[in-house]
Amino acid sequence: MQAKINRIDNSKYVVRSIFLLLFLGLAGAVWGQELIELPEYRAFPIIGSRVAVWIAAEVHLMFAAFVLGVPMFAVIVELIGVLTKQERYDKMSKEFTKLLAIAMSTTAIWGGILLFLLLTLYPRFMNYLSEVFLPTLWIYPFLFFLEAFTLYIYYYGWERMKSGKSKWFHLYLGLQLNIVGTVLLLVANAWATFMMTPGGVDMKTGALMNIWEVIDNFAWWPINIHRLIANVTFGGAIVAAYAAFKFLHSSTDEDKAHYDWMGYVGNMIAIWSFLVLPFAGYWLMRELYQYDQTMGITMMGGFLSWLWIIQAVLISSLFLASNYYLWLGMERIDGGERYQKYIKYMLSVLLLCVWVWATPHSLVVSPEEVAVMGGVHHPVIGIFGVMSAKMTAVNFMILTSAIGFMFYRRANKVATVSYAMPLNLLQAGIFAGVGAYVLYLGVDGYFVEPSIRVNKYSVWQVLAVLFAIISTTVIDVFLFKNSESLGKFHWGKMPQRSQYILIFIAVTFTWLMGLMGYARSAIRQHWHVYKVMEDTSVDAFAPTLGFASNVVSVCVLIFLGLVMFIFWLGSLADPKKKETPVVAEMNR
Amino acid sequence: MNTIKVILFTVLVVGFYSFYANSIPQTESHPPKKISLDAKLSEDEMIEAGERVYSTKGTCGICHAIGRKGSRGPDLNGVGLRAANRREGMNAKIYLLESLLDPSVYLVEGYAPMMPPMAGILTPGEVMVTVAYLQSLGGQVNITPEDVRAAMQVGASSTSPVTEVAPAVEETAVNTIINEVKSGDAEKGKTVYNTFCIACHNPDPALAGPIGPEIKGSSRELLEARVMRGQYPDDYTPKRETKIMPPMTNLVNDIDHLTEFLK
Repeated sequence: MQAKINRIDNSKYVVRSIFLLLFLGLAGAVWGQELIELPEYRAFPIIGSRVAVWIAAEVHLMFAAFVLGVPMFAVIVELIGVLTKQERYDKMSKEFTKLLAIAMSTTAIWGGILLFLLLTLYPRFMNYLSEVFLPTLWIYPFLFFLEAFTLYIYYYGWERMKSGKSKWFHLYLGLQLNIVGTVLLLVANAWATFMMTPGGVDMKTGALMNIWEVIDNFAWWPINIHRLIANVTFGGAIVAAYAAFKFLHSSTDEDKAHYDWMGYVGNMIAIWSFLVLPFAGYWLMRELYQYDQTMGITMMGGFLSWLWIIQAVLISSLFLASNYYLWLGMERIDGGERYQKYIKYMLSVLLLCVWVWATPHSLVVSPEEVAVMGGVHHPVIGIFGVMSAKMTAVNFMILTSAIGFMFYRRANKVATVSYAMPLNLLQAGIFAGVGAYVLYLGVDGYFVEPSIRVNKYSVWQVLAVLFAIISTTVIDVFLFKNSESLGKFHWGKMPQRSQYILIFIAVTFTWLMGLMGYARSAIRQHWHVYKVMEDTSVDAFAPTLGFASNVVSVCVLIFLGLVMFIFWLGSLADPKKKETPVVAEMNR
Repeated sequence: MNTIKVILFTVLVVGFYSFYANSIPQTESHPPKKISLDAKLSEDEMIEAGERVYSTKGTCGICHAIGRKGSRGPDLNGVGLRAANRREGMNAKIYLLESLLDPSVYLVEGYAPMMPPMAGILTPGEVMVTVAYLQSLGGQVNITPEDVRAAMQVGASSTSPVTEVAPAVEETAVNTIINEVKSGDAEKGKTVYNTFCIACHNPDPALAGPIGPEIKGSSRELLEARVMRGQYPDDYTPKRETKIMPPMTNLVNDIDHLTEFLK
C-alpha cells in the first residue's frame, strides 16, 4: 500500500514535473519570441518586394473596382426593366451579375495574395497598421462575407425571384449588395488614405490617439467619392468591352443586336460618370494641398509633374474614342446622316483641345535652348502649359461631347412642335454663350491671382458647362414631344471597328486607373505613412515614370487576361438554346 | 481568330502607352540624404551644406531657378545682394530667414503665396546653412558657424527635427522682425484673408460662406485659437458643428493683420 502510495506520489511528481517543464518550455518560447526581433523587410526574389506588392495591390484594386462598380448599375438596369416591363433590361442586368459572381472570387484571391505579401515582406509596417486599425480588421471579413453571400443569393435567386413581390425583394438584395460594397470600400480607403494623410496618431511616435480620426483622415472622403464614381466608370467600361467581345463572336443578328445595345449602355454609363470624375479629382487635389503644401507641390510641380501629361494623353484618347463611337453609332440610326456634316468641326475642336491639354508646362531643353527661349517655357505654345488653358480645353471637350450626344439623341427624330425653331435657337445660344464664357474665363485667368483662378474661375467654368448640358437636355424633352420618327435604331448594324473602340476605351480606363494608383502612392515619397513611418527599405525612392508605366502595363495585362478568362468561364454557362428574341423590342 | 485579334489589339494599346511614358523625361525621386551638420563647419562647408539642402531635402529647385526665371518662384541669382535692400530696416540675414520660415509675409511682385514654410521641412541648422548659401549668391555671407551651432542646439533639444523646433528658431531669429510689427495691418489682413480663407468663408466676412460661417468681428483670441490650434476659446460657442477647418500654422504672423481686417 505504502509502495502504491509512493508510486502514486511519484507519478504525481512526474505529472507536476511535466507540467512544470511544459510551463517553462512555453514561457521560454514566449520569452524567446520576445527576443526575436521582427525584421523590417524581407526581399521578394527577382522582381523585388515593392513590385510584387505593387502588382498584387493594383490587380486586386482593379477587380475590386469592377465588383463594386458593376452592381451599382446592375440594380439600376434591373429597376428600369421592372418599371418599363422590358425583358431586355432584366437580361442585361443578369448578365452583368453573372460576371460579378466569378469576379468576386478572383478579387478575394488577389486580396489574399496582397495580404500575404505584405505580411511577409513588410512585417514591421503591417504590425504598425494592424495596431492602429485593429477594430476595422475584425469588421472587414464579416463585411466581406455579407457582400459575397448577398451577391450569391442575388445571382442564384434571380429566376426564383423573377416576378411579383419577390422581384422587389430581389431588388432590395441588389441594394444591400451596393450598401455593403460601399462600406467595404470606405474601410479599405481608410487604410490607404491614412498612409497619405495620417491623423489620429501622435505624429512623433505614431501612437494611436483616436481611431475615428485615424479613419476620418484628411483624404478619406475625397478618395471615397473619387473611387465611388471611378468604380462606376470602370465597371461600365469593362461591361462595354465584354459586350464588344461577345459582339465580335456573335453569329446571329439577335446576339449582335443584344451585345451592340449592351455595349452602348455600358459605354454611356462609363463616359457620363467619367465626366464628373475630374471635379472629384480636383477636390482631392485641393484637400491634399491643404493637408501639406509640400505634398501638393511635389505632385503638380515636382517629379510627378510629367505624369499629368501622360494623364492628359489618356483622357484625351478617351474623349476622342468615345466621340468616335457615337459618330459611328449614328450610322445605325435612320436619319443620323443629317448630322454627319458636323463631325469634322467637332473633331477639329477636340484635336485642338488635345493639343492644348497635352502641352507641358516646362520643356526639357538644353542650356543653349534656354538661352534662346529665355526660360524653359516655349515662347509661343508655352502659354498653353498652364492651368487656365488646360481647364478651358477640358471644358470645351466636355461641351463638344455633349453636343455630339445631343445629335445622337435626336438622330432619328424630327420635332413637330410649333415652337421648335425658338427652342433650337435657344439650345444653340446656350452652347455658344457657355462656350464664350468658358473661353473668356480661360483668357482672363492669365491675369488674375492663382487663388481666384483656382477657387473661382475653375468652378464657374465647370458650373457653366453643367448648366449647358442639363438645360439643353431639358429643352430636348419639350422639343421632341410627339416628335416624328425617321426610322429605327438598327442595333447590331455596327462596323467591327466600333467594337474595338469599346475595347480601347476599357483598356485605356484600366491603364489610367493603374497610373493614378501610382500617383496616389508615389506622393508619399519615402514614407510608408507620411511623416510618421519612414520607408527605410532599398525601394525607398520613387521610380521613373517609364518604369512605373511598365509595371502598370503588366498589371493591366494580368487583369485583362483574367477578365478574358472570366468572360470565357461565363460563356460556359450560356444556354445552348437561344432565349426569347428581343430584337423587335430593342428596335422599338 | 477574333480572340487573337482582341488580344493583339489590347497588347498594342498597352504597349503604346508604355512606349509614350518611356519617351518623356525620366527622373527618379530619391529620399533626401541625411545632411550631417558638423558643429565646426567652416564658411565654405556651410555654403556647401546649404547648397545640398537647397537641391535635395529642401526641393527648392522645383519652383526656383538660379540664373533664369523659375517655374513658380523668382530667380535666385543675386538674391544675396538683393536681400539686404529688399525690405526697409531688414538686413539680408533676417530677410532670408523670414522668406524661408514665413514666406507669405513678403512676396516678390508677380508671384503667388504658394511656398510652404520651411520650418515644417528643414531642421533649424539646415535653415541656417540654406540662408548662408542664398547669401553667397551675390552677397556677403554673414551667417556664422555660431549661428548654425545655436540653431543646431535648438534642434538637438528635441527628437523631432521639424515643427516642434520651429517655434524656437523663430524665437531666436525671426521674431526679431516679427516684433517690429507693432499692430495689425488691415490691408495685409485682407490679402491673407483673400488668399487663404475665401475657399470656405465668404469673400465678404460679414456673410456666411459655402463652408465656413461669417467671421466679421472675430476676436484675436478666437482667431489665434482657431487658426493656430484648430480649437476654440473655452467660453466660446461655435457657430457650426463642422470641424473641417485645419490649423494653419503658417499664418502665425498674420493673426494681428487678420484681427485688424475683420474688425
